[in-house]
Amino acid sequence: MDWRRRYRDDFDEEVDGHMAMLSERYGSQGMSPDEALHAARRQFGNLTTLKETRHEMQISIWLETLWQDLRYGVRVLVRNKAFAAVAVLTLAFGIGTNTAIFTIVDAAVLRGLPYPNSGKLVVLWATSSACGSRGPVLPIPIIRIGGTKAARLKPWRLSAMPSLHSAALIGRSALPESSFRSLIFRYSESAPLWGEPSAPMKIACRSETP
Amino acid sequence: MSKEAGLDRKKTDVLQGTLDLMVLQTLNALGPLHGYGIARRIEQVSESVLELNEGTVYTALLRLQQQGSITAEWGASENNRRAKFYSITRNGHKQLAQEADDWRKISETIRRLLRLAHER
Repeated sequence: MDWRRRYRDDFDEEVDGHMAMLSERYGSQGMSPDEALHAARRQFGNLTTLKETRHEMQISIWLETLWQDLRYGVRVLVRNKAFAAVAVLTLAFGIGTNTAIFTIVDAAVLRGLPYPNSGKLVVLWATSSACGSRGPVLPIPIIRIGGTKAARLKPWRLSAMPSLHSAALIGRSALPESSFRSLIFRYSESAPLWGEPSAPMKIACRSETP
Repeated sequence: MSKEAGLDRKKTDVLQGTLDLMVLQTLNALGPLHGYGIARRIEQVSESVLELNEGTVYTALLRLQQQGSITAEWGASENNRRAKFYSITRNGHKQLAQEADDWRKISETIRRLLRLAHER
C-alpha cells in the first residue's frame, strides 16, 4: 500500500511538472495564466482516465508477472524431475512431521480433558504421616459422608472417574456425567492419616461451579 | 463536445500502437528526456498533424518501463524543475529495431495496397 501511494504521488508530481511547463509555454505565447492553465489541461487530456488506465495496466502487469512466474516454476520442476521429487519429499516430510507433533501436543497439552468442566479438575495432594511421602493421594479416612470433623474445605463434588484410572473407594464411582452432589467432603489436617499409603489413589475432584 | 470526444478517441486509437515506437525513437535520438520533452518532440516532428493528448505519452512510458525498454530517474529540468527523465535501455534498442522494421513492412504493404487500389 505504501509503495503504491508513493508511486501515485510520484506520478502526480510528474504530471504537475508537465502541466506547469505547458502553462508556461502558453503563457509565453501571450495567454493569461488562467487561459494558459485551461489550455494546458486540454492539451494534456483527461487526467482521471489516464490514472485509471495506468492503474489497470499495473494490475494486469502484476497478474501477468505472477502467471509467468508460476509457469516458469512449473517448467523448471518438470525439467528437473529429481529436484522436484526432492522438493516434494522434503515438503511432505516437513508437513507430516509438523502435523504429527502438533497432534500430540494438541491432545496432551492444548486440548482439555474430554469431560464436562474439565478445566476445573483438581488433584488433591496430601502428605502421609505414615510414610512422609507427598503425592496425589486421597487417604481413605478423610472422606466422611456427613462427618463431623471441622470443615476446612468447601463442599466438593467428588467423582472418581474410572476413565482416570481411579476407583472409588467409597460408595460408587461417579460417571463423568453425574456427580455426588450431596457428598460432603471434609478435610482436616489433624485427622489421623491411616489406611494404606502405599496404595495411593489418584482422584479427580471437581469444585462446585460458582 | 461529444463530437470532439469522439475525435479524440479515434486519434488515440490510431496512435496507441505507434506511440511506443515514437517514444522509443525520440529517446534514442535525443537521449534522456522527460515526458514533456517527448511530447514536444513528437509535436515538432509531426508538424502538429498528430495532436495527441499528451497524457497518453505517460501510458506509453509506463508500458515501456514495464517491458524494461526504458528506465526512469528523477533529475532537474532546464528551468530547474524536478522532472523524471527517461532513457532507453539495451533491451529498448532491440525493441526499437524490431518495431521499426515491423512498421516499415506494414507501411510498405499499405502503401502498395493503396497504390493498387488507385491504379484500378
